[in-house]
Amino acid sequence: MTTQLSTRSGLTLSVRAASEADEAALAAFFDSVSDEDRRFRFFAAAEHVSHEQLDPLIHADHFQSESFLAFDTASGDLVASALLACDKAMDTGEIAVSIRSDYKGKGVGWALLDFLGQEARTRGLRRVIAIEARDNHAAIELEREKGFVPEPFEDDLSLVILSKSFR
Amino acid sequence: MSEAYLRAWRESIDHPAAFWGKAAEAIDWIVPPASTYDETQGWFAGGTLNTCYNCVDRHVAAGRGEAIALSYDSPVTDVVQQFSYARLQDEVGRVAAMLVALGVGKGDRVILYMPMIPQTVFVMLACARIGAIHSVVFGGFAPLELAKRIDDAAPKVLLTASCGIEGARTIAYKPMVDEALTLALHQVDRVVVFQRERLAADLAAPRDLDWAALREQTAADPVPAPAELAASDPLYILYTSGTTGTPKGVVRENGGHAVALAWSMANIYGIGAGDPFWAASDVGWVVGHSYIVYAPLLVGATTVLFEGKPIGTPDPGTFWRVMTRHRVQTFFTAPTAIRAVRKEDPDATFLKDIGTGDCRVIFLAGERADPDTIAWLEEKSGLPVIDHWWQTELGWPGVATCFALGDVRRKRGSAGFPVPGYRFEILGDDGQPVPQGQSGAVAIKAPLAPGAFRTLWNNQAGYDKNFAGFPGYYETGDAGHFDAEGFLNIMGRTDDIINVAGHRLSTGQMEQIVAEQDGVAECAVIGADDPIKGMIPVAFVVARAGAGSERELHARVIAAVRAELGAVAALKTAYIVPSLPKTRSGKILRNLLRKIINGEDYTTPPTIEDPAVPALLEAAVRG
Repeated sequence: MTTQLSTRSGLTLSVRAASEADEAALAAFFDSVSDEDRRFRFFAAAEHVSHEQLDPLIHADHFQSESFLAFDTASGDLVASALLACDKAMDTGEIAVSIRSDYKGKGVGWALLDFLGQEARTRGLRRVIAIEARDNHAAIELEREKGFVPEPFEDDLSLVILSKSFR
Repeated sequence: MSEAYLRAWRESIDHPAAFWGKAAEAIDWIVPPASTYDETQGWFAGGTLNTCYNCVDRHVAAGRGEAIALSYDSPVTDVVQQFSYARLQDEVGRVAAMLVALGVGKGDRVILYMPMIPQTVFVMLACARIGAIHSVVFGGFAPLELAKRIDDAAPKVLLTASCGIEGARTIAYKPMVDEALTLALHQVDRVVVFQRERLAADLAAPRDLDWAALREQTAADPVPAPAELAASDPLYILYTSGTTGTPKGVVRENGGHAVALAWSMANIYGIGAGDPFWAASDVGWVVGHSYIVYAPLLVGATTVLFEGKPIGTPDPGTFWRVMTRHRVQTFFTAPTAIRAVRKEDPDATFLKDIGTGDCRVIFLAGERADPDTIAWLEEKSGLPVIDHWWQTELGWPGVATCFALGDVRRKRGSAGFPVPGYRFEILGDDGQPVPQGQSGAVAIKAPLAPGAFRTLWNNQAGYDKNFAGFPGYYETGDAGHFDAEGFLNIMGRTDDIINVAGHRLSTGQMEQIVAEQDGVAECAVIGADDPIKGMIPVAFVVARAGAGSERELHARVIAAVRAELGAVAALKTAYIVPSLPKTRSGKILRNLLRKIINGEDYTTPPTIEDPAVPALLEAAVRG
């Protein structure tokens, strides 16, 4: 199933679940994400996302976890990856979004956060969380604008946990 | 006892133009600055000066030519040599003539890959004299790292020595330079090699030139006059680790640098003309640039250039011996050096035998000084031991106890108080100051004090990023808090930079190298606590299915980091583990790895994807 989303910059995104067939495209996509954004996504510095790291993104069970791919409808290019991964109790879902460098600042993150929030509600989750590096100001700012509340992450000074409750 | 400090800090914040305008009087300007600060041109806009003139010539002109400028002490080669200001002027003049003969002029870059010998200081000052921009690369960096710096700085010439002396080892420099130049895309016109007695280097004509021969050939050339440079003209580029593999070229400007360093000698370290000062660091790092070379010479003091190690050259008494021999009044070293001395000589028997001579105070920086180390040193030396905090980007201390302003307040574990010129704020994730006592991001109100960087070489965007996170502030990358008494406590980095034995390294850079090795599925390199070095990097590696022997993978990973980054990386431990602790979205819980390796208590975060992983890691680490 493909969902069409419109961003505030007028971009149209086609969003669908990822499958095994998407591995090569996803690997190429992460190569087009900036080094820093790749670090923010995986908290790892490797320049290429390995087969092992991609595995959970192409083998989601489509309920407890879902890995979405967002394509620019006009060009057909893969421009973002968005993951919703929930705990077993289906109480809390963690989200993580990566956007291709040249598609940042076009409202893609904004649209995908709304989309993931909707997916979370559909699953009956109580809340969604995002775990961000403290120096990822852009993501923290965006999530705050979307109603996420930041808190320290355990006693780890380098991270922030942002959460948004639905009930 | 802290009134003078408080007055100075308040004045620097409320009336920065008056404060720094007065400080600028310590510098001989060719044209005095038109304004103290200008948004576009930075500090001391319109002013022209020459840093070499201020470090050397003016002291000779003032009749202090016979005063000792530089004391070189090399315990391994058993050489102690003193250079008066007049002799220093002569030596610097000869090297400046050599550079000019090679076609080096204002704005040209010159890379130094040199050990701790007087010639290194001569070259730095000679570059400053003619307006060339030097970039000193620490000798512990591997050829690939040197090559990256060569490509970024695009130097006209490279100066090196046949070897460096690292404790008992003699490190051949020239083969590393040759390899770096093979790897680099940019090619230098000339490589000038200073041949040391201990080891001769092979020279390949026409690129390579012998230092002594070039000096001979240019002996009759006139000494180049000090170039008139704008306050904003770059003095040097110093590369430092960024969060990813590309080193950041911190650009230091002549004007603010000279003013800030001269101010710091008088008001923090308590050193003036004729006073011996010793920073036991390496000229390849910012402490070496600022406090071995420029600051002591700017104020006409005597600087000690020590080519030895805290221990093993020949024993843990070497610091006290050098300190007394040169009648050092203020000593500056890294906590790791003191920990190394303490380990070898826990009862400080050498210190008791030799004493600390005329030394009045010991400053520590490079990484956080643990309270235990400070307590040991204060007890054994009977001297105040002041931890202080700064960064390559700043070029001089941002947090300290301003000893020379009569302030001796200190609290073990804290870095002290904001230095005049710096307004610190602890910011929350919303960018707003947090209530006192709460931890947050340590930020400094813009504009930064004189001497701090105003750009990165070839990377203005990288510079701007430091100010983008919290508009109006420079983000230090450290987290910390102010306590009720106003002490600033630096708690740790908010990124992947670690300090290993006072050397700033990026775990991300090591991680990139490890991830590229055959058989590595995933990896994380983190900083683990170390009783001597403060921190050491440790790798956790998940092997790819069918990767073969774990022992070979381990050896491959360690060797790759050493080959690509150099001995400075100090990565000696890699654990081959079944998996890494991650959140459900696949983000590595790096702090959990840190706690496990440090043997600290931890609770398994509810956000972890697989709660069984920490126990597996414990088993791998504890064997």
